[in-house]
Amino acid sequence: MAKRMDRRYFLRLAAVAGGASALAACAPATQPAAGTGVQETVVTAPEGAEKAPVTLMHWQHHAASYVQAVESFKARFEDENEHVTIDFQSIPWAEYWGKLASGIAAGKGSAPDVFMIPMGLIDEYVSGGSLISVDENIVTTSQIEQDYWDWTVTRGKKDGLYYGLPLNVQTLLIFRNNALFEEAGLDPAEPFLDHADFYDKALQLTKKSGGETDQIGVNTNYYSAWLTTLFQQFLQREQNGMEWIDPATNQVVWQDYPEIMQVFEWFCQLSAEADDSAFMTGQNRFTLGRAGMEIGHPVNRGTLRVTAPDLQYTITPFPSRSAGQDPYTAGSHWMWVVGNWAPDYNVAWEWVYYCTNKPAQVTWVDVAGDLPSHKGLNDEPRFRQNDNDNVVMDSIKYATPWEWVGWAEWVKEFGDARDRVVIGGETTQQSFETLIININEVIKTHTLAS
Amino acid sequence: MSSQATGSEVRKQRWSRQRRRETAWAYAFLTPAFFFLVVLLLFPIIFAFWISLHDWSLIPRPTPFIGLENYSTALSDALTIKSIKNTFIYTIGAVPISLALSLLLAIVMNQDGLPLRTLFRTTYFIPVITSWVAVSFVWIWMLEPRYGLVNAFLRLIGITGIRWLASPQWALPAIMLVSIWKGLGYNMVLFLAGLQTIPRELMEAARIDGANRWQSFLNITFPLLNPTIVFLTVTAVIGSLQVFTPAVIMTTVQGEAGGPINSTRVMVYHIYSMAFRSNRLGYGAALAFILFVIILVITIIQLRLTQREFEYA
Repeated sequence: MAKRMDRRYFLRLAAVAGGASALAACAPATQPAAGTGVQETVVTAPEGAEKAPVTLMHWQHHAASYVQAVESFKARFEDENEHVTIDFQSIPWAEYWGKLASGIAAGKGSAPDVFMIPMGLIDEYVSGGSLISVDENIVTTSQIEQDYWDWTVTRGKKDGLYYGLPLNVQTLLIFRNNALFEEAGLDPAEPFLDHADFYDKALQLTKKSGGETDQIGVNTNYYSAWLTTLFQQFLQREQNGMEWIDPATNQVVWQDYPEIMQVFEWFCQLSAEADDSAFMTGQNRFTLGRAGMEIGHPVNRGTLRVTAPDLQYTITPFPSRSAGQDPYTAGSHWMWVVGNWAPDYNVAWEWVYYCTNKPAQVTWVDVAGDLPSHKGLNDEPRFRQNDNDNVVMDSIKYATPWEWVGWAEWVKEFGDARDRVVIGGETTQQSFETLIININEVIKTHTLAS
Repeated sequence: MSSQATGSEVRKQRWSRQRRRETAWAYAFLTPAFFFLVVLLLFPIIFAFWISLHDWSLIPRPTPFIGLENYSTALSDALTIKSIKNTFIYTIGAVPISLALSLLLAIVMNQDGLPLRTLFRTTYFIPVITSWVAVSFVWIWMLEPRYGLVNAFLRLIGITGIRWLASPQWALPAIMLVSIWKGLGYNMVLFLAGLQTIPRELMEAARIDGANRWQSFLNITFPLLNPTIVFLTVTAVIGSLQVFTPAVIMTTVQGEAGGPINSTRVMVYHIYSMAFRSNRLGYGAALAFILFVIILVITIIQLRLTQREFEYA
């Protein structure tokens, strides 16, 4: 039933609106400086004034656990901010990119005000002028740097400004099947000494008879994760944190370091000898107890709880290249960003921060299996209840972010590089050279606008 | 005379008024469909062509006009050539076998007095109405080299070592096999319908003239089935050139399909991958138009080669 506005209320509202308009006319513009995406000043309504209603369109790709988390934030946020409505849409994965692109192309009203993108694409969105930087009135740059682990926000930083806050934070660790380790006479809790030790254990866990595979030592089919971790591990640990793209040439530096080619060769051999692409194709071999080890994200713990509740496993850090080196893992995450067409940047960033700040991260960890990007949560006892938890939480401390520029193409290029050697019989040198050429082309494609 | 002429003119005027009214109504009825055709089909096609002439990314950024560069890049790109080649191999492998097998099945099912004929027809048609996704997953398990049913059966007859979806040589044939199996029932039903339109008298006359079954098939059945064969060949070739779902679902590893080593990367997946995974919308649109031209040319050639007049005389 429509509510009628009484005369007194109308006059009060008109007076407030008039006052607010007069003040707004004297205030500097709130639009971003042309082409920079930088928010200069925020206009807040005078104290006591009724805030104009704001509707924010929020899109993310679908995951049941994400929906649960966001719905709970939305209910609380709307309660606390009566003038704000969050129009939340969880879009099936297959449609997300097409819908996002057409929404953004159609502009204000069709484009989501808040949306999620993988960290490798942030720079391209910023270069295209689509994003607005984090509102300093909501969370300052120094606060971000103080509160969040550097690697979880650094890929959202450009020209000293942050353009996104992290979610779906994950590292990469090795999952071991305890029963298969014990059956092979190995201790599932014993850390790896180095790559060679890992290789030996993988071979001991492999069972092949009469040309047929009965059990694989390690599931290597997350090729992009393996190669990203291996390549970055060398540069981060042995080349003083060198990034793999040379800013001067905008190309990878891999060919300058024989060690990178060596770890590629090491991985291809491992994949050929301790794995078998034709064994249980299309099935999760670790979950089914037919793989001694696999590389995986901590979120897999939740999946294993549901799909293999009886599977006993141990999580260990990724093996170092040489004995005694500090542990290393590559960390990945998505980011929540605000489109520069959002009706109210202030409210939009308030909403993003509300969903990614310290208290919200507790929900993300509990409900969605995310890792906390907030430093203050790392030592929380509730997230460190067993040895596996400790390994996971410690991994956040020594991770560095995946350095992909672009996204899906890297999955293909790394997979093809491995397949050309292991299945196609190409030499590792040839395949590695093709990988470099193709990856450089991908980087070029994704940095045209910069 | 003049009054007759006047009457005729009046009739003509009336007729033309009525004709005009009818024409107006015809346009009125056509307008909604035409509107949807323009908005939902014609405009997107023209706009897609426009996009194909630009360096158009799915990620918002400037989209410079580059003319036909996307087309020239596509025609010199090894991955595009590979995906076109795979699509042709798939079509050439799957369509003739599928049509031949379903014609054979239709002839068998067309026999009067065949016991359990309805049951067989239903059984062969079930895969047609089953979702491609479900079918693809079931076949992934059936084709699993170590424990799959297909290799278990092949082992019984002494054939070992086929790695199906894990092998660049066997992955595409594996997808063809599934497509043939799934499409069999649909083709069979249409062939059955075609067979049942052939007058029995012709077959009886041929038998009286001393023709054996093979001669009857070759000289009567096959020519009279021509419209059905033309329809099925054209639609099957178009469908095969646009194959997507089984090629993607059966070969996806960690989110990327078309492997191993691009051996199952078909044209539509390549378009999807370029436009929506690599964000190269302009390039993807150019690839879509290349596929459109390929399909158009092949369809015209097919129609020219296969359509022939016939009459029951």
